[in-house]
Formats: sequence, structure tokens, C-alpha cells
Amino acid sequence: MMAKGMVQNQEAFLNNIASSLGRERRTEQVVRPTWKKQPQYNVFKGETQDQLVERLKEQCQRIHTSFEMTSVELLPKVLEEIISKFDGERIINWKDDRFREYDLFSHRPFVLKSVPFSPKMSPQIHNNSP
Amino acid sequence: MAMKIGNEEFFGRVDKGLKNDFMRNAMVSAQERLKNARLHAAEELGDWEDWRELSEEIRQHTLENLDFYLEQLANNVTAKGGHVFFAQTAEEANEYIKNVVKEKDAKKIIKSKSMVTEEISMNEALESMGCEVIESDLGEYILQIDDHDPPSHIVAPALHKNKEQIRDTFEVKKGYQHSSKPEELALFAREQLRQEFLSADLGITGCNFAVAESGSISLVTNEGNARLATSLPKTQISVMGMERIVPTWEELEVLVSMLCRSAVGQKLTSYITGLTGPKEEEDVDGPEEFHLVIVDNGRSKILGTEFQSALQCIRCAACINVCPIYRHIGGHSYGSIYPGPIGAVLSPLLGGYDDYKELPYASTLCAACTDACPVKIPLHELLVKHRRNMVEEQGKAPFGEKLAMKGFALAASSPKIYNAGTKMAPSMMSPLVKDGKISKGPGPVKPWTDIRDFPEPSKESFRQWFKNRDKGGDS
Repeated sequence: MMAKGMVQNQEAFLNNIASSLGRERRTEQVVRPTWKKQPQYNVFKGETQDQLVERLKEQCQRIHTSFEMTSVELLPKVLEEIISKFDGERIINWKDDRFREYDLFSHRPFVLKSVPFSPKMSPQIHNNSP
Repeated sequence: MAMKIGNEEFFGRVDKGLKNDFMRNAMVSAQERLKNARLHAAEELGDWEDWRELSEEIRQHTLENLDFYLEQLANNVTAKGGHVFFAQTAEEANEYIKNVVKEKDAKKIIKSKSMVTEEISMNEALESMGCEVIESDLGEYILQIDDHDPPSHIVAPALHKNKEQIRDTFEVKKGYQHSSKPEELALFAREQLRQEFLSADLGITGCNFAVAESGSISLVTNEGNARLATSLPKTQISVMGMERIVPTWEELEVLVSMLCRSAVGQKLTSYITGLTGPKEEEDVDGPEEFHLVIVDNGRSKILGTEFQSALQCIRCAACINVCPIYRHIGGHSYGSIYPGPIGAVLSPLLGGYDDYKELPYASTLCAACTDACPVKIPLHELLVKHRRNMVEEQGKAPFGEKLAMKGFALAASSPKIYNAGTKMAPSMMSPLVKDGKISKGPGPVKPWTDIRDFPEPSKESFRQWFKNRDKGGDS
């Protein structure tokens, strides 16, 4: 259990804001309004999963991110190849049960190592689907 | 660096900007690039006006309930083990940050880009206690090693420099020996900064938006520097202006989308980072201690006034990228870390009319800024309100202008004086007229004729012209 942190000067600060707004402090739960316009729900509306994957692939290219598509069976091999491409001898990974589920990193130690930036890190698109 | 840049008078700064051809060309090209990227991104997204209305409504709702959302944020940050400090003034904020730094015995501090830390002069405060503060945003890093050259744009602070100037700075300050190719320059900076990240004792960031419902802060970058500044050092301090908050992740998604598109025309920047509290037991990396400093520094005085909408700003600089005045005079002319239309509105509110009285007049009121703003701040209307405030409520107009206006009011309210004046004007001005125009005007007319000709006063008044026209005169 994480220890609770400290907060300082809150009351005077927030009272001052309420006073500037010309009203009493608002401490009860504020209900968000139903926004008059909600265009966010029209983005990619009705698109299939395959179409959304294509969107993802395109966007990855734009933000210089390599995109690999593969199957669960080939996933460990593809990941190994990517790591090798960057001369990655040691890796760092987040705690996520799916890594174990997909049998990733089972033969690799979880060690933090600083790796200098390599200009080889350019965006590439690969499709390793069977 | 404080909010105010330098001590030179406004017109001196403007003259310098107008004479700096390189800077002006750089501004034109950057404005075109960024403006077109934004327009393209908006068109690609579709329903842009609906997105703007949604964003405006989110910002207005958040400001109207700011005390509630800030309390919710603080509760959630502390529940996760983070510490929150509410700072009424820049001094309070700096004092708290200095105390944390002292307690951690931190000597080297790595920082990601943050306007509010510049506004409160945080770097100077930390340097005064012997700390080394390193800016890790590439643009800010370039300016910092170039003897703290001031930023000229909110999003692209080193916009006024070309690659050769940057190369020279790297050579003189850091022993760089390669070409001015941007890739080589960036790689060099990256290598330099990587060492700084690894050896820093403490990381400081700004905050694009805090998320009240989870106690998170979000950071938007294209370089990934904010992630390193928040992953490697054991202590992290994030500093936010008190208005930079959204109720939930749903609103964050909307505003981040608008920020990225409006600032640089990207759907998303390369890194959108959400951080919640310090590292937990099972986390591999992250800070062991997290402090959030929430800064007022004059903002609460804007709340509840006719200028409240200025606090809707999400610091995208879309208004700057369309401003014809900024295009000509550049960012440094504004004398504030907040340049362009939003700077002309915000700087007088945060820094006072004494230092920034000219800025509301540094606008053609063409309203391009208002049209470009993704959160629909009526910028040109706020500039007019500033002008009215200064003249009518604060009496800040120059003595000569006051006298001229009083004289005009007297003349214009008396038909006899007005008629006499219009009749006398052509003969009084005749010694100054050459080839039908006045090129060297006296007194208050001089600033006009310094840059353009003044037409010769017509011998025929409008009333005479109208009368003659009725009689079939030659007018």
C-alpha cells in the first residue's frame, strides 16, 4: 500500500479561486455536462478491425514507429529479430502478464541497460503474417 | 528566465526585429509551414468547427469548476503517494522546489520544456543555490547553451536560429566538430543530453494537462526527452499553471488531439505521456518521489473577469502562426516569453500594463488569431478590451494622446470649431505638402509619415462635396 502524500496550501488557494469566480467553494461532485458537440464519436465510425489496423499502420509511419504484424505463434521469433536489429543484448520490459502468456523473454534476463542511440532506428513497415 | 525578456523599450525591440532579415524570413517560412500543417490536419479530421466548440466547452466548464477539479486532482495525486504544493506566487513555487532540491541534495537537474517554469524564473532560482539546470528539449537546449538566448516562439523556441548559427554555438560551447547538417547536429545534442539524463539527480517537467479523475499529468513531446526526465532521476517535480487541467481522460483525448493538430499539424506527437504518481513497488522504472507544484501567479485575478477566456489557452501557438504582426517583428519584439496574439493578451494580465502596455496595440485586429484558436478564445476582442481598459479605466494613454483626444472631443462636439478646423486644415498643412502628399509630418503625424505618406487634406469638406454633388458639381 502506497503511503499517502502531502498536500500544502490547498485551502487558501482554492478558496481564492472560488472567490474570484464569485461563488462559494465547490466541493460536491461536479457533474460533467453532456457536451453540445461530440465529433469524437464520428471518427472512424463503423470501420472494421482490418480497416482500423490499416489506420494504425499508417499512423505509425507518420510518427516514425516501426510496425510489425504477425501471429501469436510467430511473435517470439519476430520480437527476437527486432531486438537483434538494434544489437539489443539485454532488454527492459514492463510487468505485464501477457509477456508470460505469449512466452516472450522466457530465456532473457530482465536487466536494465543503457544503450546509446543508434541512427539505425528508422521507421519500417513489415508484415510477417503467415 | 522570467516572463519579461530584456529591458529594451518596445519600439527599440521592434526596430531590431524589422531589420533582422534572416529572422523575418525564418518567421515567414515557419508560419507558412505550421499554418498549412494545421489546416491540413483540421481538414483531414473533419468537423473542425464542432471540435473547436467541444474544446471550448470543455475548457469553459473546467475553468468554471476549477476549485473542484484541482481538489480532485490533489486528492488523487496524494492517494498515489505524490506530494502537491499549491503556490500562490512565483516565489512560493520556487521556494518549495528549492527545498525539495536541497532535501535531495540534488546538484544536477534535467528539465523538459515548460513555459510556466520560465514564467516563474525557476532556473535562475535553482542556479542561485549552485545547481546545474539542463534543458533537454532540443530548442531550449540550443538557447540555453547560447548564453540563454530568449525563446521566440512557444512551441519552437529556437525558430529564429538557422543551422549554421546552431553549428557555431555547438562548436564554441561544446567543441562540436562536424557539419551543419540537422541530422548530425541532432545526434550530437542527443549524445550530449544522454549523459546529462543519466547523471541527473532530479527531473523537472511542465504539464500539458493534468487529469483530475486519476491524479495524472500528461506531457506532449516529439523528442521523448520528457520520458527520460521522468524515468531516470529518483525524484520528479512537475510544475503546472493552475488552469492546465481536464476533468477526465475523455477530455484529455480531445484536447491533446486539438493541441497536436493546432501546434504542428500532427494527429499525435511522437510521445504523449501520462504519468500517475511515483513509481510503485512492481514498476521497473520511474521516480521514487513525485511532487506536483500548482501555480497561480496572477491567474486567479483573471478568473471571473472579462478576460477569463484567455485561461482556456492550451499553448498550441496556432494564433502566433497566423499573426501578420508576429510575422514582421518576430517573437523577441514582444518582450515576453509569451509572444504573438495570446502573448499580447496574457502578458499584460500576468505581468501588468506597465511592462506590456504596447502589446495590445501590436495587432491589426484582423482576427486571424481568433479564427485559428482551437479553443475559440476571442483574442482580437480581448485585445480591444485591453486597449479600452488602459485608456478608460487605468488612464494609461500618453499625455500627448490624451490632450489630442480631448482637443478632438471639444472640436467634434462644436460644429463651429469643427467647421473652422476643416477649413483651416488645408492652409495649415500646405507648407508640408509636396506633390500632393505629406512625407515628413510633425509631432503625432511623424510615426505615420516615417513609414508611409499622408494624403494632402482636401480643400473641400465632405459636406461641401455632398452639397456640390447634389447641385451637379464636378465632385
